[in-house]
Amino acid sequence: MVRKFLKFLYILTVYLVLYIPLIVAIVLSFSNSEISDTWNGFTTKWYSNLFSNSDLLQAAIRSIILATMSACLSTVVGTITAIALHRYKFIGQKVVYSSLSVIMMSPEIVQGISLVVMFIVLGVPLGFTTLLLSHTVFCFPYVTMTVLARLKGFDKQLIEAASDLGATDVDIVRKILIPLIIPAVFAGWLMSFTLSIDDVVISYFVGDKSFEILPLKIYSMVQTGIKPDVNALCAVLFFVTFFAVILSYKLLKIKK
Amino acid sequence: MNEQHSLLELKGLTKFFGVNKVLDDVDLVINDGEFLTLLGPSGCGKTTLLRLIAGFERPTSGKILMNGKEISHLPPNRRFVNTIFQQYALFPHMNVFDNVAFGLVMKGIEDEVIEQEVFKALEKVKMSQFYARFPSELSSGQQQRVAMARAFINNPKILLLDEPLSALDYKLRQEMQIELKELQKDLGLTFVYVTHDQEEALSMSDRVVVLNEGMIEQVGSPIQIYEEPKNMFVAKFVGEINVFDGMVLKVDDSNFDTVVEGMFYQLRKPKAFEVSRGSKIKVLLRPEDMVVSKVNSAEMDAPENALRGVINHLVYKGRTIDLWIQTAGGNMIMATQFFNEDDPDIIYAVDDVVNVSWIKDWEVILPDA
Amino acid sequence: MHKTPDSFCRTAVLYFIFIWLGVMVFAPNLLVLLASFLTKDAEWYLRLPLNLQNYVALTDTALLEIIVKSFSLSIATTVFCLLVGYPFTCIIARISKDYRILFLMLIIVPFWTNSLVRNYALISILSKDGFINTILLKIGLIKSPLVLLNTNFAVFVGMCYTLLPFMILPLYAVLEKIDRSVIEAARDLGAGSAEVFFKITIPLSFSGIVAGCIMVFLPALTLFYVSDILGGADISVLGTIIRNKFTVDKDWPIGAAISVSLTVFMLLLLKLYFKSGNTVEEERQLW
Repeated sequence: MVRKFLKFLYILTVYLVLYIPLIVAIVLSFSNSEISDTWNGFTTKWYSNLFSNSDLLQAAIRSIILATMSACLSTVVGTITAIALHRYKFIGQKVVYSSLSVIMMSPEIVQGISLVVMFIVLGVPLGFTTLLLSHTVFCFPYVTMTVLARLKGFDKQLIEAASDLGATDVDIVRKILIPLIIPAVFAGWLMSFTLSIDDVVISYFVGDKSFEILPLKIYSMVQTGIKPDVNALCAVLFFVTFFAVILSYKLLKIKK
Repeated sequence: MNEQHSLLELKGLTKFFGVNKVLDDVDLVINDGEFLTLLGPSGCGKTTLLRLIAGFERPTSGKILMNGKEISHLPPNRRFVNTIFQQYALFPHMNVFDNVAFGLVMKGIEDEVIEQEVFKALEKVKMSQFYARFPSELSSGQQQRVAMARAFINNPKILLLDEPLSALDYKLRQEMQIELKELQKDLGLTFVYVTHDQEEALSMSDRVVVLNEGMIEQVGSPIQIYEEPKNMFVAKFVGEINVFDGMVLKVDDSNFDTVVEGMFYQLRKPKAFEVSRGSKIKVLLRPEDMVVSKVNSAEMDAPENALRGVINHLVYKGRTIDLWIQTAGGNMIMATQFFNEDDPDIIYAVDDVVNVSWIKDWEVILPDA
Repeated sequence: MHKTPDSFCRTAVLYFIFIWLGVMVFAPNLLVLLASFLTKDAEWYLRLPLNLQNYVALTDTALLEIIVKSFSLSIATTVFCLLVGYPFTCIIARISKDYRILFLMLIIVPFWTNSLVRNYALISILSKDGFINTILLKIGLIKSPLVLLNTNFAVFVGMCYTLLPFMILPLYAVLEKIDRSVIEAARDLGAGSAEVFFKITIPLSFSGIVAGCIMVFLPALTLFYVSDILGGADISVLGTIIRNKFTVDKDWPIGAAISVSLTVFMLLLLKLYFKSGNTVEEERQLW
């Protein structure tokens, strides 16, 4: 009993510590103070400020667009890669596996500069395209890994059983493969979205004023001090994503 | 099974996995409506043979003919064959109804007919009330039934079963054996059944094929396989057996004389091969064919045709008792004795001295390889 | 097994994968490798001749000092995250299946607010009249407020806070898979809690430990924004140097040389990782 209580206390503490800055940020979004790190009475003016501050809102919308698109692209690329790795045997398969691990493990700054060097050498102007491609590159291995784990997880005999019962290759993909990997694909998408929307380092290198996303906008504000309207924006974004995820999770469960 | 017309013919089937020869020139005819069992130890090639028939593997060489037409090149979805998998392979994202309906949906049959057929099939395996459940909500016995319904609903010419009962516990397995057999009769289907369990093979099959290292050792009815094993492998793999070395002394028209463990015996001549004077033979005896009698005084000589031995070990099994008897000649004999209702006083104990003989003519004679 | 018309499909898919990886992964890294051997050019960033000067420049004392400082910070962060994350993940992995996902999601949720903002919020916790100082003053543990902000300690806190999830997730992937019965078997054979932990749990989760450490250690060397927000003017991480070389000094070759060294270091760690996991199953899940 005591042990159980101590364990509970421990995980509670860790979660609390993880959430304190988040809570502080949200609380400060209601602070009637010009700088975002002190409390000076309650106000909601930062929220009304936010919705009139088109710059910040614009950046947030760009971020969401970018994260959504790169998550979708990563999901497509990642799922194709996973299915190929699972189903085909080919020369260089090991190379593909290890490059996936390398991408996931290599520090963002290394990826950021190598991508920006290439874009500059190739003469690709920095902006939306470079951001989208870069985000897709560092997100898709996570999709591949989740989908691959799912593919390995189910019985190979299921495919044989379907084929035995008269299913063609197309039927197998449509009726067996896709329904079975959908949860993993969804999880991969969510992972990509999360990584993409919170990325600072890679975007710092491959991004540009022409498509200024939220992290870059905020980063440029850090030096002068962040105003509470940024906190307000983060609170809004947080709750929107949070409810979106809960909703989709529920929907997925109902469908099951 | 009066008119035996052949349904499937395997001709010279050979299969390599890399450099490993898994099947070696297998010839086999499967008759319409029979329950045929492929029996053998793990790695003998029985599952590969099944997968070749199903179409999951292609033979390295040889042919598979169904009703005289070659089908070896057809993919699984174009053969009139269905499989029940060892782990059932039920689709986890579909409920029982959709699982069973799958084959018919693939054929493009209209919904009302599918519904009728599915419920008819579920009725046969007593699973109708579970049609809306998902596989994860079923016990393994129930999953087994669904897997059966899913396979036979397609009216295959042959139903292939890959150790379908191995995941079930003993009691359930016994029940399912009977059910499977009844289902087979009821449907009038040809079953090809793979197992490593000889008891299962003997109790259910019309014919048993014993496989070892990719080759067929013997094909025959369960009685033939058990009572008249063609070689040592079959004899030893199917049930327990005692093996004695013998030497042929004299041969006449129907009998021959031999010496086993220093005792003289006159035995019936085997049909399968010619015994000649001086040749070495093996005399095989099932434990339940052994006759054991207690010796009260060790000084008394063993009667004719009996070996003297000492009980080394015994196992009480309820209806029977298994004795391991160390003979004077150095063999360890296993003997299964039924309890005699008329003579309940016979109680065996370790270190008892006994005489061992066997019921005449129940021995199997094999040449010494 | 399926030899239908999908051989075309197969070819197309494989070409796509190789081109994608070639252009977006191999080419950029090779370019950086090449850049690290070239010479700085004010207009075109890079020019010939090839030389090793950039690598020699890495041994510069001022740079070495920062490297040592950054590595110490990284090691401290990794050790702290492992010590906190391991027991935490062990507990989470034992929670009943229905709730496990929820607890895991709770780890990821903070990412949905911007990490810059979250680190910025740490300022109000660590500052002179912030959360920590207020509490410590109230209890009477200290008489005058501690200087926490703009110190290495603040960067350490920020790193741990930002990177803890990256330790927990790979650990979770392996710890969740450990068969309960293996642990019961060890207990049955007479192992005490400590022995079970050191002889069974740790060896079985070793690949996850290595993966988690790599995923904390490398970013802790390079997350320059944490240092920017919490560390003040002092340069405390290697990432700041790389960034400055690329964006402020426009000295690509040296920046590239540092980056290449970092990559080589990562590859060595990866090798260790593959040795610790089963090399046969490269596809083993990281997350």
